[in-house]
Amino acid sequence: MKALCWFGPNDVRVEQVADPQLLNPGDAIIKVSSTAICGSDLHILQGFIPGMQRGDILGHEFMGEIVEVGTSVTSLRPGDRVVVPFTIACGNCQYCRQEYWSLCDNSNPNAQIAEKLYGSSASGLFGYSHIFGGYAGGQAEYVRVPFADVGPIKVPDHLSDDQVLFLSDIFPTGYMAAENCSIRPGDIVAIWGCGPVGQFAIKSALMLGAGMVIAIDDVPERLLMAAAHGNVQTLHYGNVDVLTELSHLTGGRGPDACIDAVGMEGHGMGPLAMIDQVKHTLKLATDRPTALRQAIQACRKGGIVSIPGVYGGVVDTFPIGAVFNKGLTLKGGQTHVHRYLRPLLERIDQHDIDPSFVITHHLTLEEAPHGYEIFREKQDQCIKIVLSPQAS
Amino acid sequence: MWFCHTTVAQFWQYLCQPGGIQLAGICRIATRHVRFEQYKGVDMNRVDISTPKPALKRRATASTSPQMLLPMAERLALALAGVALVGIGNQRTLQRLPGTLIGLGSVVIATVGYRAALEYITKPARQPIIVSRTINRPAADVFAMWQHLEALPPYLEHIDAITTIGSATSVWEAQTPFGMPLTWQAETTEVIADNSIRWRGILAPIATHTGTIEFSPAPGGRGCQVTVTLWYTLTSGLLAALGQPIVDTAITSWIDTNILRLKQRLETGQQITTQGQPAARKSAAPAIDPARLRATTRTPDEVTRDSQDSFPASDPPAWMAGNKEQL
Repeated sequence: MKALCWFGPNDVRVEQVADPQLLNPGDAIIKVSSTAICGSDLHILQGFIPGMQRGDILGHEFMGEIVEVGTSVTSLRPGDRVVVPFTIACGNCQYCRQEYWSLCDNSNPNAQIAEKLYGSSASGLFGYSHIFGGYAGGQAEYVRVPFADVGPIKVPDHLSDDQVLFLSDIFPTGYMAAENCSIRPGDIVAIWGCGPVGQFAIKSALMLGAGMVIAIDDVPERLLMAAAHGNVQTLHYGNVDVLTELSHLTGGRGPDACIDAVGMEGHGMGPLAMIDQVKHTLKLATDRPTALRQAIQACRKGGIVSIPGVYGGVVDTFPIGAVFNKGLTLKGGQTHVHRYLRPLLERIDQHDIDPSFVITHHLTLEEAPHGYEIFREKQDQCIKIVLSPQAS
Repeated sequence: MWFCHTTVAQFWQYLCQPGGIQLAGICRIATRHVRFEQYKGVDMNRVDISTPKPALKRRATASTSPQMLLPMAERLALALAGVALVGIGNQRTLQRLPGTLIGLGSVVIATVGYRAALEYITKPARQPIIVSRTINRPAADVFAMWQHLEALPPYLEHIDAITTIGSATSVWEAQTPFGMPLTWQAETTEVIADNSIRWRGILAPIATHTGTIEFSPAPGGRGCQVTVTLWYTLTSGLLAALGQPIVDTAITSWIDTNILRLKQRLETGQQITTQGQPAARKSAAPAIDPARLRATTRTPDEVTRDSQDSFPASDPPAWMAGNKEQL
């Protein structure tokens, strides 16, 4: 089959690889109908995620048709159309039982490596390095899905791929980011980063009752898309001083909750952002916490900083004094996708939201390397790319 | 690969420490002897707080007293062995790195000549190896797995076979990562049902060991805490002793891997793996060993049946109960 493989920093190619096989009785093989390039795939593309090996298949947002199931799979049959959560969960461990699906104890076969880095291991992830299990990703014609009874959700035929594909990651991720803000009516939520997750965080914050959302980015088309969601104030961080502007917009209080939908490759203005960039380039730092630092600085006393953006290692110049003295709460983590699949599918089905608004490009799998390039460079007004592995 | 993994992990942990701690670690080797003289015979884990602390005597022993230095012959032997190891290890591959590091260490110790420096790494069985994990199953279920030792090898890493002789003795056949077969005999010395098993074993001529495995209920219905405690003494020569920290890490990692595998088996009924998946590299050719597949396909052996009876692995999570057909 054809698959999009990683060969080194900024080197991804479509290669012919072996077809996936069932490795466990709980597995299923899925013929991928649609798959997307995630902003967090760009961290891998640029070589900032450790534990990648040459030839690894990327992709963790995908859906398709079941073509084969293992002997113990009971809830799915060949022919079923499913969306697959990007976090892999066993459904039986202490964490899964408490619905902390992305913290599954069992799904990462390389848990001991992750434990060396983080103390404990989170769940396995599709196409996201060998630290998170080395699972082959979904930017391919076929993919093996473990724990098929637990993760994949069947989707009704009257909803198109574009409408339901993002249940695999970015819609639940944006939603959980907003839910983590414990929004009360009238709350002002500031969101750093208006990429796809940022867009869904904005939508979700409004759905959860936020009075106003302040969206921060420097890409015009992303700010325009954000502004279209309703009561959204946009800030171009290249044109205004974000902290001053946020203070003005909130009567000097600061936003009630801040969402960092940027993660480890933050950009920004000012000397600290430049130092971050230099350290990151020289590999003296694993992450650039530019947006996170600003979010903590801006947040009101007793507020919440929610972090859906991916971070991988350690950061310095972290404003712990602000966290402590303002009594802030930090919430992060990979998304417990399984928890949101059914409620969010219902909202799509009831036309509360059509997630396809975020798509700007449809490409074939062969065009994926080009897709990665325009997504990375934010060329051609690219916000979200959907690949069709079965099209040629 | 396995050897590399443990060494790289150690190196990573070392790198994660701030520079001050690394320096302190080096200083500790030099000062350990002096500091420990004052506390001789005191078990640090069971200090009776009613006993007055021994008065701190700075430099209780003269820093250059002859008994603190290694005899010249031992130093020479150590230096030669070290140089030889560095020579063998002087390749540009990671696999040879541990040998080179041990060699360099030997040369440094030989040059410094402090007995304390050598004792720091060669003192046998200073601390037991302790590995602990929590399995989301009742203690009785986990204990039950140890009642059928012969059925365990398919779930364990590097263990080829376990044969029981009578009720208390078992013979374990293992493969080391270097392909050297190892066989040892273990004798169960105490069994408390659903609670703990104590054993002693002989791995002639390399080591003797005693160990316990305890199964204790985790608080708040969190399942069962499995704790393996292992005391071992290497009986081989100087080089093996020099490698003790690496042996420690390797054994710890090996026990931990196997407890993890049993946890996966008990909680999910599967052995979690990504071996045999496609990737665009030669080593990823999907060669699946049919024997392994059979091991993961549920044969109704006693262990699997026991675990299935009490908690079917295909059970949906609690929140899905009742609406499974809607999936």
